[in-house]
Amino acid sequence: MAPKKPTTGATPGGFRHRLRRMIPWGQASLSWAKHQAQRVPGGKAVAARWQRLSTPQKQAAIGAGGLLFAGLVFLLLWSRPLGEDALEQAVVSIEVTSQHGDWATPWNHQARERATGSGFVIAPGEVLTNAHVVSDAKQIILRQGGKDTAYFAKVAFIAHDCDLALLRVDDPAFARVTPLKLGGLPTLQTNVRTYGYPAGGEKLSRTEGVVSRIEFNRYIHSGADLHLSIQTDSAINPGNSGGPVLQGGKVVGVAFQTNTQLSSVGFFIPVPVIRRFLDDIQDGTYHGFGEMGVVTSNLENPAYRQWLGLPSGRSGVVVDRVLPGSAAEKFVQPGDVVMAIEGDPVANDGTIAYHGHRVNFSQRAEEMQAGERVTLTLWRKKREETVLFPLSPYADSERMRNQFDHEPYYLIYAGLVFMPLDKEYLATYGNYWEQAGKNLLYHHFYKRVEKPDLPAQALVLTRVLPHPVNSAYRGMSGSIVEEINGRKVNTLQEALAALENGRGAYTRIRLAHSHALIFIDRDDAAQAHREILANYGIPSDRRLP
Amino acid sequence: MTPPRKLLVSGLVFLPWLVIFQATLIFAQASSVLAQTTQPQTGQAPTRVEEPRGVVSLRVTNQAFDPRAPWQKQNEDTIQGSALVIRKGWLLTTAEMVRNATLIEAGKLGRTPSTPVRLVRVDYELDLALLRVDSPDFWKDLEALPLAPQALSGGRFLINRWRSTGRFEQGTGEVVDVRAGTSRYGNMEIPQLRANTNMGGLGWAEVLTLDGQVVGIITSQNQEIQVTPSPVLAAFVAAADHPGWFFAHRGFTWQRTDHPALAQALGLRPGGPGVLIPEVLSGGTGAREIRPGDVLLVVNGYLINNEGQIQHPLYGRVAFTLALNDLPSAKTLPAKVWRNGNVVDINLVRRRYRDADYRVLPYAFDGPADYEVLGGVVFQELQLDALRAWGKGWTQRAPQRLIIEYALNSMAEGNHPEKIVIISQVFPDPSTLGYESSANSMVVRVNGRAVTSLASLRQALKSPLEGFHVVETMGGGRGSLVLKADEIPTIRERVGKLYGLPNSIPVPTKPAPKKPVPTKP
Repeated sequence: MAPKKPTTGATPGGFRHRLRRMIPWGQASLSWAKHQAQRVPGGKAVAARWQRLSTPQKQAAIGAGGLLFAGLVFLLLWSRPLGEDALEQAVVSIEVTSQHGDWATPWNHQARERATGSGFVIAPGEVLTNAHVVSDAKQIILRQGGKDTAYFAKVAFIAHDCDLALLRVDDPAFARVTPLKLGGLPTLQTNVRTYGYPAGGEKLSRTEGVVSRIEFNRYIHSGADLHLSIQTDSAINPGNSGGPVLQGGKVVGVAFQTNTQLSSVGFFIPVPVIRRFLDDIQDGTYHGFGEMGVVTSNLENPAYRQWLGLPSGRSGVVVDRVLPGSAAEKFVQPGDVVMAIEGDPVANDGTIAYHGHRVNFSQRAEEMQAGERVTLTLWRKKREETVLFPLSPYADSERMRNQFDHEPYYLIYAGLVFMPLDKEYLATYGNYWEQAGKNLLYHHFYKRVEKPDLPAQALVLTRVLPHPVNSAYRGMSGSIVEEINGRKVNTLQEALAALENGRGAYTRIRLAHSHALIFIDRDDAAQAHREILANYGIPSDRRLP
Repeated sequence: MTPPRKLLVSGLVFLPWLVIFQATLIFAQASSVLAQTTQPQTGQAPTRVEEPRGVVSLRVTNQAFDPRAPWQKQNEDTIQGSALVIRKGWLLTTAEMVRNATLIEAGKLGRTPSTPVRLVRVDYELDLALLRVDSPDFWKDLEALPLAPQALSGGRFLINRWRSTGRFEQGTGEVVDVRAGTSRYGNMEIPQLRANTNMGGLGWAEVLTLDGQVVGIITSQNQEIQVTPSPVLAAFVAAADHPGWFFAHRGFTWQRTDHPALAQALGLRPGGPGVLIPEVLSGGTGAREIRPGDVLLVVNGYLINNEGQIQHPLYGRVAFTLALNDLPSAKTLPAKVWRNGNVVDINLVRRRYRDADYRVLPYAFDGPADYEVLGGVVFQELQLDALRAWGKGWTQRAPQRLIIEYALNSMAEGNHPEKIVIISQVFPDPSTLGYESSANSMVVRVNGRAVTSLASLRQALKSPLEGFHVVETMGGGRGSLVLKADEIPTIRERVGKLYGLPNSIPVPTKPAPKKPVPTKP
């Protein structure tokens, strides 16, 4: 069997040869063109018009056509896939020394950790990577593939909600590296290449895979956010995180996580999420995703649609809850049907058409910035209505996320340690909070939804540092604090104010649920304060937000 | 040639020797087992006596209703354990032995248990059951073992049981302590003796003896064995003979006052007696007599120290809550509380929790749980059995929101007792398309009416909204489910056929009341 002729990627000679064939210089070529033109439909009319032109007109037209063609050729060459050596310059390994706060003993630090990840130059002197690569970073060193120069970098912007970070390198030598360009959303079943430095190796690694899914997924770095992500069968290993995923020489994503329950599966952050992040930081601040704050259910059930009186041919999702304090709170009601977002019809399974895919309807809002207004077409009380409201980041999401880049907040009074209830504190009870009191789990996960009138935050008596002033209460740690000196307290600031404003001989603390009481002699507490801090090696009695 | 009469006489003369020979054999067996199993390490070894006539073996076949599909029963199981001869005709064992029993059989002196036994009285709070064997033949060669009047507070004892091989086994154990605890399923605080032993496989009502008297029966074994001591056994047996005697629950929470600042702030003398009452429950002893903020000083004549302990004549220093069941005959208990700076005498009314005092019933044995089916959606009241049915590690594996509800709100609040109605199952069917994720969510309203029990759910289902049943839920899954009311019978029949759900909903049956039959020895 004869070998197939290569169809792309030509030798220089071959390319010039084709160029000569394609660009018809001289009169002979004009006759050839005339002949060719007459062969295509409508070509005869064009040929007749050409005959009517004067010679200078013909020469000008040929010149203009040649220039246009030369421009196209230049564009083609300019946008050709990057060479591997150029990629080795632009894709960097990131060595990070980090130190996470200690939520069990909040005045301490956990042990230092050293880890490596990947990143790529997105603009002169700027490197895009994952937030989880550089979270809690104390020192960041970048290296290009096969080179021994170390560049120190700083985090310019970090977005824990979408696991992206922008690093800045001040070294002028680094600023000369050619940035990679962002592409678009790849189509399913097309090939992508993942670049990075898995396991911290010195040479750039490349793996190939096929795009298998484009859908909403949980971003495990924050543990609380769902965004668009792309699944590929390209291996994404530790150290790959933050590396670019390329198609046709352009970045179509940032490799960021895998699923240990599936074999040979990697996920990357697609360009719409990356672009939103880069647009968000244009004003010098990262604001976060503008969220609607509605919880919806599908409307695949025909009886449900009939009950709502939804006209046949119309579809949507029904709003179960509107989160208190969210952007939608004053505009959307439980029982509304979201029929369209930004004019895109929402299907009964909650999806919209999106670049040839079907994705969750909130993707439209996901692409907007906080402050931008979203339009929803609603079916409310058997009538169609349109609402328009500005999106805003949902403030209450923060306590639901894993915490990074700040030390834990706490307050110590008479050896009683108070901390805000957040996900990081719950994690001190095990990866799945298996040892946490059910009271803590209720307050963290359900109170806000089931009792929206109550404050979202809660304060925990996390530890009792034993001392005669408190030793009878040591069994009460891990409880939610209901009130201090008669005031309801839900935050450290409220606790501090209530403690400072206490009157009488005793400080009175009531715990939630058990309603147990703690009385502390105020004079004894003041006397014991320094002793307790010294005994337990605590440099400061507080760290407030 | 020996005349026949003479042969008979010599046979009669020989018979007692045979019995003695058998007894010697049994003793030799027991001794050899002892040599294999337990050797006293410290303290004085208890006197080994022949107890086989006071302990019988039980074989129980049990079969529970499936808590998550209460229209069907699970596989039957057979367990073997022991029972104590209380008096001729009567046996005492643990409630765990007879839970969901379909057949109870007794055997004596090493024979296979095959004599039918009647369950007369069962109390899952005390983990005790009283059984009756009607066959007079069964009682030949058996003798009641006396119950020790005093609880064992230390030292060693004998553990007696019949093995399934027909061998009688004795071992020894040593008391660790006596304290207030709760039974496997119950909420009532009862005296529990903890002890160490080298024997394994215990927890099936083995009988503990010392000097020929019963000191308790074993209820469970983990690292240690848990034993219900003899005074509790005696009180349970006596209560069976006296209608109106009962065992009571506590109707309040309590907090120790041993911190000087807490005592002073409450107006108490630091180091003085009393426990603080932070919360009063809807049922149980003292629920309507004690007030939140009271300090309970004295109950039934016992002075309560600031750690909540009393000096009990039977059990030594134990939690004051054991005093609530000192007298099963008592209607009230005298008490003193510190209220608004004064000592106030009150009478605590002894009460046992009623079903209505629970939002989540801790157990419902011996009968199916109630349920309601709407098309392909099954509703049940949340019960602990259904959570336990998630198997080992159920506290992690069962739906988190339901576990939280059980842990935080299992008791009814104030004067509004209510249950938690959940969607226990959603059968996949065209009518339930999109509703599958709503299984294990809690029902808040149906057709606009608040649902606080299956009864209120059934009432609400009588009034569909414009031809639709609208079920609003929380705690997981979607917000609401809607089903067309006129399609319900068709769906019900279709789902019933497809998934084997019986068409007629059985009338809920509670465990048949086991009336005691007073019989004096």
